[in-house]
Amino acid sequence: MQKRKKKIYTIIILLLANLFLSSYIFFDKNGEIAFLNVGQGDSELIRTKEGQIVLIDGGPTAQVLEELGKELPYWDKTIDLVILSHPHADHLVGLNYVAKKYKIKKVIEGSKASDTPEYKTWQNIKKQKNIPTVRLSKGSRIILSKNESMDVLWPEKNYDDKDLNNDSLVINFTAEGKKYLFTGDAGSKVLEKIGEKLKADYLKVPHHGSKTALTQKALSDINPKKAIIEVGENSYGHPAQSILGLLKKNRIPYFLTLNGSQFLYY
Amino acid sequence: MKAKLLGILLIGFLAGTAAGTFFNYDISNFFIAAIAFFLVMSVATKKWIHIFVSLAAIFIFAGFEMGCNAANFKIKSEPTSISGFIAKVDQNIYQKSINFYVKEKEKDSYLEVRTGKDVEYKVGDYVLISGNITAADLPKYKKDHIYYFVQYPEIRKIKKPNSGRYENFLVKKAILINRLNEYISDRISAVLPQPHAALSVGVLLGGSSAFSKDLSSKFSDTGITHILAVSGYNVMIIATVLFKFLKKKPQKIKIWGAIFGVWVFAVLTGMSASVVRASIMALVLIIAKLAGRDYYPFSSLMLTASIMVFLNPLILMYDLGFQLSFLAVLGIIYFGPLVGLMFKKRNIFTEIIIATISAQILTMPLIAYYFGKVSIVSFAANLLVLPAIPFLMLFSFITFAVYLVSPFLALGVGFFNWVLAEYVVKTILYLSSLPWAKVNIEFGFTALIVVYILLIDIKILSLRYAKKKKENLHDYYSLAG
Repeated sequence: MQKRKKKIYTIIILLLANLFLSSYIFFDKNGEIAFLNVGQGDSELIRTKEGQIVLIDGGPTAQVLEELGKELPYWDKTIDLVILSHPHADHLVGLNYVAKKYKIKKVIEGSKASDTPEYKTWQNIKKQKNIPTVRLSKGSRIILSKNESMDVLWPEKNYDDKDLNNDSLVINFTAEGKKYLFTGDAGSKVLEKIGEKLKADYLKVPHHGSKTALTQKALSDINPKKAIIEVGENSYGHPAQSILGLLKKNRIPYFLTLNGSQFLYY
Repeated sequence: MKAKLLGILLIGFLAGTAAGTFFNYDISNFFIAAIAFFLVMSVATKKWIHIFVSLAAIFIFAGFEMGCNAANFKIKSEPTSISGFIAKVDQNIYQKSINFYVKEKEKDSYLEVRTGKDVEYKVGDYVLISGNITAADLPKYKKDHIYYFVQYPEIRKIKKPNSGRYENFLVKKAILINRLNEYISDRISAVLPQPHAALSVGVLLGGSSAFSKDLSSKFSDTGITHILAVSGYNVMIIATVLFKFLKKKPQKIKIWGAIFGVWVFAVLTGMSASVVRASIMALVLIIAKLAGRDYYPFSSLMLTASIMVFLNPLILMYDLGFQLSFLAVLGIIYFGPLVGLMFKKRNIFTEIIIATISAQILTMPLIAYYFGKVSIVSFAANLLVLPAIPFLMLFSFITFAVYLVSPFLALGVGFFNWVLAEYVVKTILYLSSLPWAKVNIEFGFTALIVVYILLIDIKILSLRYAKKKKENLHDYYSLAG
């Protein structure tokens, strides 16, 4: 009886060890972009072909942790790069929880700081954990690998707008020839100023699809094949019917994170 | 026989309390009359049946009186400010606001505060709250001694005031338990990702608030939320593990060790109704075994319920955890043998299946009444998930213990923990994704009573079949639920 028990335990342990190793060896080696379902807010995760992890924004609550738990393997507790598009709570608060739980190697932010309590917490955590922050503006380029890089299209240096949304980092991510446009909460006013550099295959619609998110001109400049709207239950009327109508008119299929995270692979 | 008679008297007490809270009508004259009747009977006729009946009347009226008084209790004043220490903080990282509870200085009353997350509030902080404080005149709050509410008030942290010995003890106890809980859950969360960490901490120490709204609703759709509220099931696991662990030690050490362990666990997890119930019953079970007496699960259950209701009459009608816990045990005691007829073989697995199904027979109607839904997959979910819980508890504890030695090694041990948690989460996600996972139904109070009467009928009708082959579950299943 004792012997049999020992045998069973050994088999179970070996099976688990097997699972552990095989999941490591056969882990997805494709590039992946996940538009995470974090409620009413923004959060996107990029896993490059070499396995670097980039997180753009963190959503309004800790829900991003559950999503990271799904996307990252068990032992991975490092995020190579965090990009904060702008310091509004629905993009920032989740990052405070991420910073507590994961090791963040580097942070990239736009030009402006903020004096909200959540931003103070963010600054404190970064200081505590010695996470270096780089502030970027229009014209910078983030090189992730030979075939993967990000162009910063906005904000312009010394650009002044009362609306913090219009200070959002707008980033065009190029991976193996395909382009993915991350827009934060930037309004159509900003997009129209950027012009033709917006051209991309996939678009994260700005500002949860609010009324002022897109215009026909901006959408023509981008000319995406597919659009993703980061949106949850809300009382602001996001996504606006006019924006959905505009996308339909241009025959651009769109997907909402309201019903679950959305994925793109390359 | 004696134990059974006591059981009957206690049913009278509980029924009286329920009626008292419900009808809210002063009958102290009847109570006095019943006592007089009892005295006269016991002297005059000396027939035991008369004495018993009059004794039963006393129990019923005493219960009625208590229930009535508790329900009638009104909070008179609405102060403009309250000072005291923070006794409990509900930290839900998935919400934008927090709730915390301030114990009023030198009083046994609490103020529920809802506020933003800008400032960190910790258990044991002394605060002065001023704002639009309103009386919480609802029994479901009064049962927890929450007498006042306030939303987004002005909060000032103050220095520790001079206070009595007992007050100092209370604040120290609250801080100790809170910091120990935090210490353990921080270590586990450092190893495991979410929601695995929340689940591991949840089954070990309780706490269902550590999940996103999305996942919480899936737990509830599959009827599995109870694994996150530490319940009698955890107490049963702890008691049996301790018994096994102390197997070779002398009887005395074994028994006191188990009692001590169970009660430390109860205090550590915040003394919820179901844990207290199971802990008292464990105490009764162990004492019965020690004295070499028979253990009557039903009488033990009634005794436990009566003690708890005597201490706080409002929990009988207004504490869902208390009600579910008792119904689950009643189900195991009364429907266990009936469900057991379906199985020829008896081993640990079939016993778990029997206990799981029989417990749910009685809890399901109440859940339907409270939440307006019935989880169809609940049986399957519980059968698949519950057997994994003892192992999940064990590995969560080991992960924590190993982390103290080496965080790196903990990552290795934690993998087993992660696999178990992943299994539970995936099972719940799968079952809740089935289109017929739950059915929303309108279920009123009358319907609830009708269903329970039907269930009692089924039990009575089945008595003659079950008696032929009377095989009860092991005694310690009466702790679960």
